[in-house]
Amino acid sequence: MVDGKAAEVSKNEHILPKKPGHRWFLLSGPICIILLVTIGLPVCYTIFSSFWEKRGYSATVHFIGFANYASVLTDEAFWSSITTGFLYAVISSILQLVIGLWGALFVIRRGRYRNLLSSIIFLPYLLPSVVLVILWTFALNDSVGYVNYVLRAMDILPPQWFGEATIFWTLVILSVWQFFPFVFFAIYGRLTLISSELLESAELEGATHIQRTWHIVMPELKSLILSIVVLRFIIMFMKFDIPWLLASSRGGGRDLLTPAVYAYRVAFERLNIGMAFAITTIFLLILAIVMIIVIRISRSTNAEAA
Amino acid sequence: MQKQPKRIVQFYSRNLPIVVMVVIIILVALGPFLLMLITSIRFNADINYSPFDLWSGTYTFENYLKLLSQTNFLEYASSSILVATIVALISGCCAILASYGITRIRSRLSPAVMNLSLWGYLFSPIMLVIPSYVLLGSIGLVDTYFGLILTQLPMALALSFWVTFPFLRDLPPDIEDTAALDGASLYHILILIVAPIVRPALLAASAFSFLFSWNEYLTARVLMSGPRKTLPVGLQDIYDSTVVDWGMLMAACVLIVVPVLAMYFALQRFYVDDWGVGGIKG
Repeated sequence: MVDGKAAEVSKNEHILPKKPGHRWFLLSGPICIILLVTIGLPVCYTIFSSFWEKRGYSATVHFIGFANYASVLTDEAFWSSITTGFLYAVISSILQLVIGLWGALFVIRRGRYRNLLSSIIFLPYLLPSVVLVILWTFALNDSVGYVNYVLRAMDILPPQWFGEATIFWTLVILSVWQFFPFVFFAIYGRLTLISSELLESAELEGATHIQRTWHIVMPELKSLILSIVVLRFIIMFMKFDIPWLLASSRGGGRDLLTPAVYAYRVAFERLNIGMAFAITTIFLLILAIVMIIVIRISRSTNAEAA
Repeated sequence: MQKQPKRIVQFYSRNLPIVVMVVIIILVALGPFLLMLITSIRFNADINYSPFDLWSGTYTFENYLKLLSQTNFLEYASSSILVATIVALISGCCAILASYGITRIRSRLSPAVMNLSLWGYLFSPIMLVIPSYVLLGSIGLVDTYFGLILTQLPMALALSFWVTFPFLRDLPPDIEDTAALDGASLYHILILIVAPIVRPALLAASAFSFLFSWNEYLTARVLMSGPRKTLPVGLQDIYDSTVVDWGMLMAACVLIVVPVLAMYFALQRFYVDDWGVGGIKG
């Protein structure tokens, strides 16, 4: 998908040309119906309800036009959540990209150990977010955690991992640890497809390892990296569970207000449902813009390949 | 025979930077897992005494027994297994059928299905869970397995679709063509010829959906309560409501993660070669 292969459908379309519509519906019908009911319906309902006032889940509704949007856009917490989400998404995506790219370039050259290494690197990605947060809360705990233990043994004063000012960076570390394998695997998969002939002939011509990486490997990865950055950005921007669990668990009461946490608070704590729908409609708009970018990228990649 | 150790030492000293990097990678990726496992079989007194004093302490399964007898862990586990299995079955089957239809039969609707799946892929659960909660509430499906499955399905389906689609696109249609020329019907072709070939894609898609549902937190948190909670929500409640008992918490973490890891290693040969990004979402 990210490689932009989506556009070249129906390369293999062939059997039974009679009445294709009927058979197409028989095969693709279930997914269409389920997606329409489970995505289409909630999305339409969200947009429709964002123009109505509704406070509390059993409350009656009144049509109020754009007033919900006005109260979202004038809410300071909304803008602070956008700022936090943006910083979080940018910083953690870049770190994921750097570590994932470096890891892939490193592991691909490890010969027969590379399969083992790559499957170990993938492990953090498989953890449920609840386990991730509990595991790291334990690891970073001041009295029983081993991270501070090691830091003290090396005569480094451990930082306040869960302090008001530093918890954002703890969040970034956790997210990068869990999600860099995504970038790693995407790039690693592409690296295995690059032909070794070009690299070998470049080596014979006397190109150093860095030159080969820069002039031969990186151009191959350019469009892939672009799509990964966009994809990681939007996923991290809308992340709910890690910021929520890290800040709220065990009555921490600290603040990691990302956009998704803000929407959750408005919907399930402030119980202003109409406003929550206005927020998610704004998120839908952001997502739509990103979708258009992703599709553009995959089209231009296809055009280059053709 | 005597030269062997010397050669090994030479190898490691010549490649020292690389060996150090490999060790760091393994420690960073695997370390927390190992400490989770070790902590789960230590007594709390030992854990509180020192995180690294692994030699003098004694080991025990007490944490696991405590977890299974004093908490609702087994109830949470059974609802997790139920929900994740149904999500995996539905999304794997629907995705493979749709991928087959889209790659084999030309239709103007195909791009629409693919765009819809891409939406599902990028959709943040928070955008679905608020309207789903209201809509499901209006027909009395909040806190039912059916409601939770319905809310998790679109994301699992999108995930499955992007696993099965590349597989079927790259699968040459020759065998099916031959069978069609011999007069086999579409249904015979699907069941007798296509099904055995696509089994790895179906398995991988279902496994990814299972993992997604098994790990998913937000929709389960909002929709489920009481004994029908899934494992992540249940674990979070155990963590929040009791005095911190690190040994028991780590035992719970181990029990949640072990099925995931088992599935990952069992299915590894299917996805290491072929699909890079298609099958992963976070």
